[in-house]
Amino acid sequence: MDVFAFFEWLDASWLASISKAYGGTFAVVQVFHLLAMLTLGGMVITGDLRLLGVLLKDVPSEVVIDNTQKWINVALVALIASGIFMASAVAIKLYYNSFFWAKMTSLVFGIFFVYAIRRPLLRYDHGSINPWTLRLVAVASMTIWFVVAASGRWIGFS
Amino acid sequence: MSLATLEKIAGGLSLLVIGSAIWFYSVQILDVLELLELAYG
Repeated sequence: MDVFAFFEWLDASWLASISKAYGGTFAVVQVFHLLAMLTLGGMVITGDLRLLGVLLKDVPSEVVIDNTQKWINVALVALIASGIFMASAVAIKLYYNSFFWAKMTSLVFGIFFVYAIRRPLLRYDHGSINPWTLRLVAVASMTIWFVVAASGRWIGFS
Repeated sequence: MSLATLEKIAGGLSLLVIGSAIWFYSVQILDVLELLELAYG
């Protein structure tokens, strides 16, 4: 699969025409990207700190995880959609940026961790799961999303 | 997948993630300390 061809296509697409020409539209989409990041970060931290027994201790962790997971799904869809639009404005530049690839790799790993590890594990009764496994998963989950955010910010300074 | 298997995979992968992040950011911090030492002695 030719990845560069995809970036060339994105750079010349109608999406890029809009993102490059209309600064106001780009800014609005960027706000949605930031709001989605806030939602994702907030939901991840809330769920994981509940698993660690730091906050919302009077609410069953199953309830907190179920509610936060719904918003993690919404935030990820919004992040990816707005992210593709924003990337279209600087597609070729991003292709040559190693921190962009670090962010994409950690994002893909984060999505894998959420849907293949965290969610299937937390579908079980939390009382039946080894408490140390719960703690490790909570810390690893926060770590992964920290790395995604930090790599994303690194793009701007590279 | 049984809970026991899932617990082993989740625990192992989590340890790997946490360990890798600690290693990566430790290297970054050491780099900064080295730069500070070069700059200010």
